[in-house]
Amino acid sequence: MTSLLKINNISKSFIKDSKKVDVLNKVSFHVKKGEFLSIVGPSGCGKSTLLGLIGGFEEYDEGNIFFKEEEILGPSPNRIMVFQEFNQLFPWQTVLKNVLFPLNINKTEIQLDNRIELAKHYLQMVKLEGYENYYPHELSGGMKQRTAIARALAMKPEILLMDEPFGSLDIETRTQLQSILIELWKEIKATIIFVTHDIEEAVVLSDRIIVMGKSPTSIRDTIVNNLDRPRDRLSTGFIEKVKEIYDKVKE
Amino acid sequence: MEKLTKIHRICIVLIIFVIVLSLNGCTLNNDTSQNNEIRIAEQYGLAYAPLQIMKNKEILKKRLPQTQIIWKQMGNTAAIREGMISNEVDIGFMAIPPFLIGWDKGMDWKIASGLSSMPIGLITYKDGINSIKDLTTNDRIALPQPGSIQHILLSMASEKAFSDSHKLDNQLVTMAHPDGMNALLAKKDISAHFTSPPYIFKELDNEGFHQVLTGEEAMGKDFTFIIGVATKEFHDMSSETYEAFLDSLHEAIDFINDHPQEAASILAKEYDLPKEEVLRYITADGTKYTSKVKGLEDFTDFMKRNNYISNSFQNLEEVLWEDVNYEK
Amino acid sequence: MLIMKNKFINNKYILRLFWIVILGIIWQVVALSQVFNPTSFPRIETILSSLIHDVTNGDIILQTLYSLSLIFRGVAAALIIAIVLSGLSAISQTFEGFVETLIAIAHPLPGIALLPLIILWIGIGEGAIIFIIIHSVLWPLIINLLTGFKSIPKIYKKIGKNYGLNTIGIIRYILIPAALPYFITGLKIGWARAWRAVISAEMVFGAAGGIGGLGWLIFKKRVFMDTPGLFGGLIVIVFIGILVEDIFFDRLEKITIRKWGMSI
Repeated sequence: MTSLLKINNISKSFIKDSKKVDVLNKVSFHVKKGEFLSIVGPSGCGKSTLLGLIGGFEEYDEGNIFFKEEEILGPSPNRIMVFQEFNQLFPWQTVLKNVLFPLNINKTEIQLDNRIELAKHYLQMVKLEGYENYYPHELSGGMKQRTAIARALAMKPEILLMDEPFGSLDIETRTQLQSILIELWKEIKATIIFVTHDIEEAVVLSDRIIVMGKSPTSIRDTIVNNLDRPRDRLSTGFIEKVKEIYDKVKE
Repeated sequence: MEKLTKIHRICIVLIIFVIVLSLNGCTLNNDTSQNNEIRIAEQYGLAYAPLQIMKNKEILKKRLPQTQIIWKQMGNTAAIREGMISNEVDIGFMAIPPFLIGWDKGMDWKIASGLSSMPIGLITYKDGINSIKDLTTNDRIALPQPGSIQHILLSMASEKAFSDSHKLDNQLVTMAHPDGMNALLAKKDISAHFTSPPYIFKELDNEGFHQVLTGEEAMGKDFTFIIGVATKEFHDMSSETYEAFLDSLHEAIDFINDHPQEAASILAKEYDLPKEEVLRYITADGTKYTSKVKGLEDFTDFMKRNNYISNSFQNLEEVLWEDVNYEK
Repeated sequence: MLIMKNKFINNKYILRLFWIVILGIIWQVVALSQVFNPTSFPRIETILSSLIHDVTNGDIILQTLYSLSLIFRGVAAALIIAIVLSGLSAISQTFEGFVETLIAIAHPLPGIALLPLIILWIGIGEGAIIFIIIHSVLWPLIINLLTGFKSIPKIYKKIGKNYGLNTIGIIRYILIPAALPYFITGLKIGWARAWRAVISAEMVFGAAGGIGGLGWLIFKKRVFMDTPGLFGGLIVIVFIGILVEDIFFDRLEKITIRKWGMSI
């Protein structure tokens, strides 16, 4: 299977207080279609920056990123980002309108009625049926993130970029959203790059886990995760996997 | 809910309490201020020249050494009238029409004396305008305010010219005399200005500026421009001060008439004008400083007929204090 | 929940009415006591009958409409200028500096203080009154729009770009609705200032040709010492103020920013 996304020797630095700070140093990896890839590492290791580069929100200094053999030059509806912030929904639109909004811009070839059906379908998939006419400020944090996921998925992006989307949620909600995300991933055969600092979350969700160290970072290791799904957090295999990655991060 | 009404009741009681207290304060203040004070309100202009003489030569002060004399120069007649209603002013100077409006509305005041007659009239810079009949609907006329003597005289002229006293009402622009003069000199928005000295003289000094209408033409005869009005409260409660004021006023008027040169040099300082100019103004045709009150009935009849006022007086005692020099 | 809300709203209006009645009673007591001259402190029924007279002969209605039409024209013009200036400021920092300098110079100047200049430049007609209205509305509106644009979370723009919007699309679909709370606040301040400005400007300029507005009506009532009529005019001013601020803006906020949880 060919790679959907190729990242070759990416370097990135910022200017902070008139000093150059290297964040990423010659990072390379590939992502296959349909893969669920997680990137873990301590905070400040540049994993979010890396995701931003893939999203096209920022420019890299060296190297290149190819998406389907084309270099990434800017943001595109092919690569949709879901953020950690709860205010990624537009407060002036209802839940349904928020999901419908990108469809109305990009999928004008579909009739409006069908667009609405599509949006409702994805809301159903994230278990938000009945909340179509709520405004974001009337939702809990978990519901907001589910709406954001529905909005992203409704666009059927070729790759879904998730930047610690569950980072601000309580454990219970987070676990619940993780299982919803896995179901969705299976159902629509999405390709997902998932950034998190929660190792357990990475092990629950992904096929492959990239471990990054402290900046300036290159990849420390890439770990394949073949545990059977659905994964049992209390099984020995799971715990060992978590420990293996934990040791890699700590190194 | 029940708690709320209780709070309300307390609030109401408090508010009434405060109001009653403050009212008491007001009345008390007024009583004490009455005896040793005289508060006189005037406006700016040569028509008020005797008052400047009174101030400068301390005529009133010599007669009333124990009394505090307070002069107030106000921007317009309405302010003077409001000051007299609220008992901030004892004697006010104004034209006859604003006095009649106040009297009609029930103000307890009467005329104490005449002060001056002045050449007042409508000035324009437009060659084509030689009578008010030449004014088109695009010609705007500046004057101090509706109900002023300028407005009433213009209405009188309209009634004579068009048989409709309100004909020009929608073309009026309210402006204080100096603003009106500047607007007329700018030759832009204002075609004509109904004004009085010194503005009327200054405007006529410009080339091409001419008089369309004089006050006398509008009225059909000459009349008193400015009168002094005293409130009943002041007249009755402080009759000695009142008498002293009248005597001083008449002395000042006589002084201007008897010593125009000397008066002109005093006034030149007061008005910040060259002495020759002042002398020319105060001795001009139509300028008269006199205690005589003239034209009262003509104004009353006209204003009653045109609904500016709803009452007219049956006998002169209703509008004049005793011993006023009156001419029909 | 909904019933409770309604009850609360009713209560608010009942409370308002209650206080108006109380103030009215106090007024009437003072008027009847004759502590003040009745010419300056008329009884309520005198005020109301004068108001009814002015309403039925149509004058006050025409004059109110005239004042409102002046405001409408002034606010519309100010709105266009404010959107253009703040929009350009959002794009260019140099231009923002220019607009901020303009605000620093012009904002503290009361419109009435500019009158002599306005008379020289524009004259004394409607244009001058509209100019004063624009002056009083424009600066608070621009200030609020600038703050509004600045306070928009950066993430909105990112999302807009991610979903394929171009610059115009981002302005149309994201920046404008996101800045709406500030826009409404600016409009509210602008309205309040315009309403005061138009009344005071009309009192100075008078009915420069035509029927004049509410300010002129009040001025005329004053010079003819029609105090009950003057109070009638004031009641209309208060009434319009309440109508616009408590009903129009309240409704507008209720169906927009308060519904969206965006109140500032």
